[in-house]
Amino acid sequence: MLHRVQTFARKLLQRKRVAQELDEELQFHLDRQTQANLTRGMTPGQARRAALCALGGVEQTKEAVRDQRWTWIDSVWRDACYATRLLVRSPAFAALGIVVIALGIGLNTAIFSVVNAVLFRPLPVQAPHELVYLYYTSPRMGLAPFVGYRDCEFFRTNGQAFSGVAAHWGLRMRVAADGEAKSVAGERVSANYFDVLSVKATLGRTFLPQEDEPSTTERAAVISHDLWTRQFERDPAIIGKKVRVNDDEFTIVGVIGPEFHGVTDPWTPTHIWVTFVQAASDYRSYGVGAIARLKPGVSLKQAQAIVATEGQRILDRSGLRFAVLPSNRIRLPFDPNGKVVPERLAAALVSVVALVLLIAAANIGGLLMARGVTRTDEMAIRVALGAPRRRVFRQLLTETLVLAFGGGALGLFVAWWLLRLFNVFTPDRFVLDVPIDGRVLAFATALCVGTGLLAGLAPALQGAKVNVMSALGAGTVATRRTRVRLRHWSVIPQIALSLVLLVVAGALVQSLIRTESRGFGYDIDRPLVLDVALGTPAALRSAGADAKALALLAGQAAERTRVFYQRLLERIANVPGSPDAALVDSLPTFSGTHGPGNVIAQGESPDETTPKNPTSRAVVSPNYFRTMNMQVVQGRDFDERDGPSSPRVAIVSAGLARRLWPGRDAIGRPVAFPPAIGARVEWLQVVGVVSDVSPILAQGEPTPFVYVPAGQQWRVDSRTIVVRGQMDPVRLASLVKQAVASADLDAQVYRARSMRQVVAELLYPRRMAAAILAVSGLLGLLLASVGLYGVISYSVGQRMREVGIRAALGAERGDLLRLILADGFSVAGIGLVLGAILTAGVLRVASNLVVQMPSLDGATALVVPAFLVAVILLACYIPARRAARVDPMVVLRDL
Amino acid sequence: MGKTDYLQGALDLLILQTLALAPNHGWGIQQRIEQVSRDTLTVSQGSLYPALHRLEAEGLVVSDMVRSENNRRARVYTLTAAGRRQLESEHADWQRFSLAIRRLLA
Repeated sequence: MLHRVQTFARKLLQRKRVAQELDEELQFHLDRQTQANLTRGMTPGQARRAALCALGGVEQTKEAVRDQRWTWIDSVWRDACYATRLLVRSPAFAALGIVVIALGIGLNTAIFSVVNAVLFRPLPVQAPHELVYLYYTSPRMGLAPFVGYRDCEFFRTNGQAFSGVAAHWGLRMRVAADGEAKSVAGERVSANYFDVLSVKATLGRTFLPQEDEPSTTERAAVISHDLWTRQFERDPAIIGKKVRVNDDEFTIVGVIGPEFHGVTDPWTPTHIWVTFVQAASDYRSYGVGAIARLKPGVSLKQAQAIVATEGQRILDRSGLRFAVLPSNRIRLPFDPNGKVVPERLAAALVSVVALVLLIAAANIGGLLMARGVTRTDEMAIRVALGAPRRRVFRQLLTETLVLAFGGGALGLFVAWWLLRLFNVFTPDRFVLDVPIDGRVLAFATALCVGTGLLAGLAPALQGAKVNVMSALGAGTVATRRTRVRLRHWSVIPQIALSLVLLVVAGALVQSLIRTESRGFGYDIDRPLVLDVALGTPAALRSAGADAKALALLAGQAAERTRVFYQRLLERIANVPGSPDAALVDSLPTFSGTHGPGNVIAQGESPDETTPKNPTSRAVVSPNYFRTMNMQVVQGRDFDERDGPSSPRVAIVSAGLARRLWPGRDAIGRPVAFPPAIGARVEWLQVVGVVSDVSPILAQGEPTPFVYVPAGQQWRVDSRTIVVRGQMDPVRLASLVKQAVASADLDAQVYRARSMRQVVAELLYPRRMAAAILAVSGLLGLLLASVGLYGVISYSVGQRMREVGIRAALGAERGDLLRLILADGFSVAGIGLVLGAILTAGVLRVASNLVVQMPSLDGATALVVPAFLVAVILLACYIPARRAARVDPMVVLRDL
Repeated sequence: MGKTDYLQGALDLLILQTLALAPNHGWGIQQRIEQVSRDTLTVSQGSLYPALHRLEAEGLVVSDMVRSENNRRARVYTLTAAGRRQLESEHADWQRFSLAIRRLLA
């Protein structure tokens, strides 16, 4: 076998030399034969001629030798060359075929690249198959995306299963250098993080073991190549540069190369790494992500067993166990349950887009069959001259494969362009590096082969089954009819799949429009959202373990921040235009509850463990509701009266008020949150009711909210300021930044966005999915309608004679129109019915398996099929009109 | 028995047998076959070279271009281990075949 491949390769690459050597070989033979003849007494001329005769002709011998060399691969190659020549000779057909296939393959390849980048690509580290993640798991909650820091340490020192265990946790950090502060995705890690991952620094170094010790003198940070380029402009003196991270001074000791992005979600690459110990004083109580490298010789199963037995020793909480999972199975290390990007959703998206490719394949198949009819003579002659039908079949199939690969090559460009487009529309916060790597190329190649086979099977069968007698004799109408049927059948799957695509896309787009137009209960157009931080003074950080001193310092810091924010809000109010400004601890954009999650009204026992009233909580300053354009429906807003020494108050949302006190006045009633274990219940008095807000992503009821005044629930952490004003938002933002800087020297705005941007970031995946589906649907429809038009048009051309006769025999224009339209509609009708069945099935299956599919409302269910029918009508009508306008005299003359 | 043409299988066997003794080029193989069979067997020269190239493609012989006297190059064929094995098995086949024929005719 190897020999065959070698000789084939040699033939291919050194054609000229091989031919030359064959020539020499035969010449040598001839010379010797001539000499032998000379010694036998012939004259030189005779000797030469006799030698040639004996050999049997040099050219024939060469031919015979060449024939011996033909293997299966050779004939395929020859077919491919012939097919290419044919395509070059009919450029219009070739261009059409290549473009259609390129669109289908390009779209699919682009989608697959994204799925590949998110789900399949292994970590760019050495031997990624040796890396595993450790998690807690319990039968009730499933996998928790962390383990305790101490447990991570335990496995590090107990070196039975792993050669190294590193801890990490991703979070946003404020990085300030040269006066500019930015919010940047970072990771807190243990010092051996880069060693466990075997990632080397491109500049400088990674962490040393001593950087796991607390230090105030020199704290080390490692930054990413991207950050070095974007924020520090590739400063060659980057090593040793000092930056402020969160509030502390760090020294940059290394830059990590461009291909490593940290171990976190693929769309938020890490830009800065610091050690746990040096960044936070209370790291021991944290939950951390744990990455471990298997010891050489230890398999995953062995490691799991070791962890299970060792883990039992330290875990005494019932039900909690350790889980060891390989890194190639968990693509999102902080989401091991796969809730954020369920693999099924990715599979669903890939399948939907595959439908477009199927439509394209059916389309090309139809085109090829139409073209095949014109080539019946050629095929008939081949068969008559002795070519086995299998050979003819293979040759025709090879032609389609060549077309498919040509389309695939163009398709890669289409995919690349689509990915660029995808990046343009992606909000800055998500940075997804989607390369076209080996796996994507293999996928594209598989698509080419699949498309070629799918599209080419029927035409190849049609060509190979040619009836030689009837083709080379006089053609009869009867045999032509059956071939017309085969072509028509290619339209049916196209129409059916188009219907499925359009309905699914339509439903999703509809639900998206409904969500966005319904409004969320607050203004999303004008408010600006700024994340502000007031630096914690250094004294609080490095205070010792003296609890009393800590508490005192904490109290001072709280007072300092309170004063700062008060001053800040006053200053913003003084900005020209007097915009409304308020403080809030978290925006209402997220679904799900944040905060204690449960609220109790008087009369209920605080020991209830099942959440009866899941509620969200927000700490807001006065004026918040006006800034967000929410209405105070009853009672009052918070104001200066609600301070630390006045009675505890709260404002509830209208929906919550209705639920807790149906039909009664909510003002004056008490509510509380479940207290911590052992503490007393703290009752709050309701002083106002506001309008409801809805979360952006969920589709259900508005979120019940309880608002508490910032004056009474003050905590030292960073806040979000929302500002709503009349002026240009950019100018407003810069004025607010100035106000912040003037309110306190240590204060900074580290992120400024408009509310629109915040909403856009959350809606981005949905919008993207809807866009992809809409594009796919329209593309599929375009292909199907063009396919239908082509088939009907061609069939009309074939039937011109018949139509002319009918017209001559007295058929009216209307009759002829109806004849052709019936032809088209019978086919399209089958397609529509099939499509309707498929759509119903798909919606049901998708709802059960994948995501909650938006319910098919009447509008979509009617509009989409009507649109499709209209397009079909148009596609059939144009050729039908041509048939109806036929002049019988012209046609009959050609008989 | 006059000079006869042989089937392809027989030709392969003759070529392999000739090369078993020593590597040779096409002309030499042809001469040797005619020589040893005392002209009973004539190799159709038009089928010799296709057969040689086929055997090479099947891996039973290898070849190389060698410079001979008067600066002409010739392709010299050598038997491979696989070729030797094939020769032995075909040899055995032919023995059995001729034995059967002899029994029939006797």
